[in-house]
Amino acid sequence: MRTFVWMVTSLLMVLLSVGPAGAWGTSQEAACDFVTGGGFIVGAGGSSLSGGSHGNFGVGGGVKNGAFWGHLEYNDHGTTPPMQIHGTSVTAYFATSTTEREIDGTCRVNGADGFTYRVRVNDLGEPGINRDQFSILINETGYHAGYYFGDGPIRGGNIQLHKGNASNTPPPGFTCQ
Amino acid sequence: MKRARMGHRGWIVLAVATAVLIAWPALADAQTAGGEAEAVRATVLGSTTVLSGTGVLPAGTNGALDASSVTGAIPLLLAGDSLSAATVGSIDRIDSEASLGSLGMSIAGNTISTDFLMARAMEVTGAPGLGASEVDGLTINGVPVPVSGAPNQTVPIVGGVVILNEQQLGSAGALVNALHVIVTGVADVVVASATAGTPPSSSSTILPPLPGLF
Repeated sequence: MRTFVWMVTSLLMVLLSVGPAGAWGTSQEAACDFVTGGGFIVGAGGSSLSGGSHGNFGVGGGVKNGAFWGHLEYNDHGTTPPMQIHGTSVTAYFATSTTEREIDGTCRVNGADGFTYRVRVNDLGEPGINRDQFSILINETGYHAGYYFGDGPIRGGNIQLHKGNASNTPPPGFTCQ
Repeated sequence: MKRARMGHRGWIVLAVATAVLIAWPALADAQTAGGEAEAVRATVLGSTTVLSGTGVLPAGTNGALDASSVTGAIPLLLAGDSLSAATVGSIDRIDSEASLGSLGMSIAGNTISTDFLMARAMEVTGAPGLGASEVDGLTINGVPVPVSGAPNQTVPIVGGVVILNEQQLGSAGALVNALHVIVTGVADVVVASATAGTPPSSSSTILPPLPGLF
């Protein structure tokens, strides 16, 4: 069900991004704040992360002084050696709810360029363990893991959504949500 | 001709004003610090290596700094993955955090490993600094070590000590180290360190005594 919701949401976002905004040349929206976090998820057997394996992550996202900001590091310990995802840029950052943010960007997978990622993080309070959420999707390979794909909330770590401030100005062509 | 004379009330006002002026430099100093986070800071035989360090975000700055690496290693000492460090500041607040997964460390004959480490520090102007850390899956020399969660938990190792959830909290800031390994005269290794505001100096840190170790 969560996978279905994610896919429907993804389709809607794609349609929206090439629809009114693209056709009319109007601005797109970005969440004007920051989110940061680190931790690990544990595969439940229904995602690309094998059952019982850890997926370690470190993540940041936001808009800062007219540019997207953030990073992504992810290691899937269900494979030997661990599959490694290293974010190389952030290309979108927006709110999907009051507590959840999506960070999109480009990345390397096992050292190879040419991939793009979508990450959703949800700050649902303190402590983050067994509460906050992390999900990751690699568009080109279909790799998917985390909350939206049945792996549950993070089993360690924390997601922190930071209140926006004067530095949270969006890139040219984007407006604050 | 009347001469103005200062009464008791005048002396009190003067004393308060003097006290404020004396305190002002300290307050100004407190605002010169800021936010900083580091996944690893290791000093071995006087040589220091930092992995995924944000640098300092000055207090009172609207902005954010980050640093990260998919893996990180210091040869013959440690390795980990998903290194992440960030500090986010605004006019009246600083939040810093650092984390690292799958740590493996070998130091002075001791082996230390963790599943995950995270340190967080926060400072809001006018309020005491706050901090917290997370240490998951700690083993030392192959033996699982229970983590109490209390600040400054110490575990003796050969030649030194491991400090878990090391905290220096004060009225103007906080420093939190998730894991601090000290091998006397050889190495000082901090994994997952977060600073916000101006924490009290290390000399004023209240740490449990470590008889026989130093």
